[in-house]
Amino acid sequence: MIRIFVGAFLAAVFVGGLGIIALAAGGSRSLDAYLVLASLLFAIGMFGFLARRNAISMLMSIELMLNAVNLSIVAFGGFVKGLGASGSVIALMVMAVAAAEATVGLAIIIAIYRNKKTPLVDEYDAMSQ
Amino acid sequence: MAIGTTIPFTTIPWDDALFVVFAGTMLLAAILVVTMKDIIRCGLAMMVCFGALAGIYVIIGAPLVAAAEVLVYIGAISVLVLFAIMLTQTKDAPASLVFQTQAIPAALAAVLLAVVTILAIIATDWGALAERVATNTTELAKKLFSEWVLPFEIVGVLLLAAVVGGVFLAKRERGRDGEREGGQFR
Amino acid sequence: MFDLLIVLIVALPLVGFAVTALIGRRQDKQAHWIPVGLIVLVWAISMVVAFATLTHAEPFGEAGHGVNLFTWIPAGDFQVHAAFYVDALTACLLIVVTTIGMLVHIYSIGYMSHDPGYWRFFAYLNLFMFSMLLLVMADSFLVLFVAWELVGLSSYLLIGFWKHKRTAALAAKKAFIVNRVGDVGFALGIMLIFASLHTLDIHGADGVLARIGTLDHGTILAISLLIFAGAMGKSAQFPLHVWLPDAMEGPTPVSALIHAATMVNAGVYLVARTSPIFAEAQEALVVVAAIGIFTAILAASIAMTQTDIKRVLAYSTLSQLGYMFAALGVGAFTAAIFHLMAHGFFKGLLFLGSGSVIHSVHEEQDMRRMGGLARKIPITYATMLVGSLAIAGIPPLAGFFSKDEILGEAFKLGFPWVWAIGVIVALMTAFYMFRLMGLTFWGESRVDPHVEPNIHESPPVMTWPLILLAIPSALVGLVLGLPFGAGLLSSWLEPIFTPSTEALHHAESGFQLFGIDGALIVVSVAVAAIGIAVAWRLFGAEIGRIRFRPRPATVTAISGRAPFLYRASLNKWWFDELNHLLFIVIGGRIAAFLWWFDRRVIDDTVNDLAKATVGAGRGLRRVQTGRVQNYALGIAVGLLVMAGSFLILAGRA
Repeated sequence: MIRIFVGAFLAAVFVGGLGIIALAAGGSRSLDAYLVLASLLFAIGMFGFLARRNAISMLMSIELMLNAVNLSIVAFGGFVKGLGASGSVIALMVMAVAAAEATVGLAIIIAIYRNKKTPLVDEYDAMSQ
Repeated sequence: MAIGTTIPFTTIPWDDALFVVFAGTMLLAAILVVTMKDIIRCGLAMMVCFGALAGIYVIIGAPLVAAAEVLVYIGAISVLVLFAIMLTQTKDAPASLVFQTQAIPAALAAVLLAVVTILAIIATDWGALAERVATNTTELAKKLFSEWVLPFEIVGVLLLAAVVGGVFLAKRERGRDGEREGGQFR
Repeated sequence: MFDLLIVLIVALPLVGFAVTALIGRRQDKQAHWIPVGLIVLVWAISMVVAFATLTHAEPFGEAGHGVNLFTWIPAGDFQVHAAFYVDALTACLLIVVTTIGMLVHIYSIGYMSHDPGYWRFFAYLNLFMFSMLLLVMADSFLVLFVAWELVGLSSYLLIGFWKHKRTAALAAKKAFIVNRVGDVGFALGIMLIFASLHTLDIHGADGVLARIGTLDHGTILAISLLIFAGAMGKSAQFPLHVWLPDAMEGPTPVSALIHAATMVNAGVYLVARTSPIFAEAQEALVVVAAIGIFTAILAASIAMTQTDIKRVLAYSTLSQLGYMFAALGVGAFTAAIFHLMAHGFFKGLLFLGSGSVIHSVHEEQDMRRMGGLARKIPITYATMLVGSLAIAGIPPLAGFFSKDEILGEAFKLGFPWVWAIGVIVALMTAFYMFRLMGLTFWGESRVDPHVEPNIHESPPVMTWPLILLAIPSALVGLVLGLPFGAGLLSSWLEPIFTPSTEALHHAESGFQLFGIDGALIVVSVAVAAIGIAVAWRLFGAEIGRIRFRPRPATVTAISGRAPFLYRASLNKWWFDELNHLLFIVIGGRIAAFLWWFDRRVIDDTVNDLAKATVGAGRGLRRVQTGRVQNYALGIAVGLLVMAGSFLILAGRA
């Protein structure tokens, strides 16, 4: 039931987003297209982070969000006069940091899994005491 | 032989078409990542998504970033994620719910976020160039080791710390008195 | 020197109380030496002070002398001084209070000799003397109020002296509570005085009496009525009279001192002292007179059928107090004080005498079981006869002068209804007093046969006060009242009451022995004689050659002809039952309702507020799940709200 609801919403996002990109003046040569794409990817990633039960799914959603941000940085690098190659450099930095964060996050999840015997975040409520 | 600017027999430019293809793939793969039940399939969809993203980077004109995306994300992070999925699998995983109870408000929030951001983007005058500017790799290298050398070094240290931390966190506890697998806190 | 004497008058009884309270229990049967000795000393000092005041010696002069001890409450605008003031009115009260107080103290040595609480009795008596003396000499309304309350407290302690007796304890409580009702009025009056005049000093150029004329009529009327409310409580006027008969549960010396001669006179003294206030509001005086004379006839009607000797005297006191208030109400202030002094002496005599009678028949108080005691307790009999003649108003004893002056002034000052009712009351007074004498002393003995052989006269320590009181009962009228209209007492008190009488526009008509005044005298004496004659015929008499046989059959026949009146009189006109119905039954229902209201409405409102808070807390607790995803959703929503509103506002601007 939830899946139907959610699926419908996301499909609307998908179609609507593509439509907007296509309609945006200039298609792939306009900055707006890439930024819209990046925001759509970010929204999808945020939904995944808030709605999934498995901890590793949450982490994958985080990676999606980071990639969305990366895409917007690279887009600015390609279109804004003052940025130039710095856009790519920044994107590389972000990628490195994302890698580090993924490493440590997965290590934590594995450590917690050893204690709680489940990867589902429903069980990770020790903060509520 | 040079490929024409547009797809033959149509007026659609190559980059526009490729852009739509890659963007569509990416979004579809992303949606699959967040909605599929089987986690391993989610991980694989994530790899597809990253691949499409690399293609988009190429269209923008940043080939080095595209290469790094493939190497780092698909080659390292996705593999890491798949390993972690393997290590944390439970027997009843396919049978349980995928989404939380708060999935509906989360969906609404996500949609709202997308709408707000897109409206802001469309409404803003970026003052951007008409043409994309491709990144010159030589220039990128120069920038990396002159203007951005400090962040570069720090990121290196950060990666070291992350690796050490990750190893330490995921280490199995060695019991003092005999074998004691897993943690003491059952 | 006089300042010291004045302070000693008040201080010595206080010392007596403190010392006896502390060491009295050890002294036991010797506990009377210190209190009685101190009271005798106080009497001597009071006589000196009174003499000096009444002869206008220095420093008293014409208007009296004030002694300011210290400033009790120095609070900016609200200054209260612990001050005494002694003038001729105070001197008259001092004479009465200290004389009767001293004689009662001496009498109690004999009367209470068998009582285990001997030392406590004298301690309380000294406390009472202190309070009463403070009251008559106070120069500040607040000091007077304190003394007022202390007198009430002493009365409570003394009425309930035999505290194990349930009726005594209840009577003491009743006295205190009914007093309290009046005291509330008095307190409100004092507050009103302060609110209007910003001072509580009575005398002095800045005092209340000097400046009362500056207020508007309504305020003065309110103040005087409130002060009279206090006097009604203390002096047991209708409708606050219900405590005085029950107060007879206390020992007889207490009845004599407090409820005949001193405490109940405090109300009369208060109205006399504040007469300038009343003179400015003549409607209040009419109220005073009306209530006074109504109480007089009400009490007299009840006294005619009572069988307890002390109750008859208690209702007689109520009736005579009514006379005094009637006198104050018509504007005859001097006559009221005259009757106060005379009544103090002969009522004190009658009470002590009745105590002697009760003592001799071994604590029997019902007159139906007495009779023929004249031969067996001659001294008591003789003194009580003197007292009865005095109260009946037979010349030349004291009661005649004072009562006649009241009735005469009432008639001449334009209150003929007061005079008429007063004459009827005089008739009833003579009747019931000689009924008492007939049932107690004359005729055949109805005394319990076991007791009869042991009837003997009381010891000298009890009979000497009787004799000493009989003398002023007989003579004080002659001393203070002659010549008519210009007697000694008038000369003392005129200067004090002149401002009030002038404010009332009373014409000063000379005394006409062969004119209106003579006629009124004849009417009073005739009425008294008729009352005595009827009583003699019904209840017997054996005075010298006068011999009548008691006729109980005739008595029953007469009372049978007016059964309702007889029953009403016997049941005190059902006032106690009325009070019970109003306050206990109806008041109890109201109180129960209010208790329900307090519990259900008020307490439940507070409890529901608390429950709502707890419920809200419980609901809000569910926000704290401890799961990061829920918190992240909250962050996302918050971010959306902020970003959205910012964009909207930016777009609008």
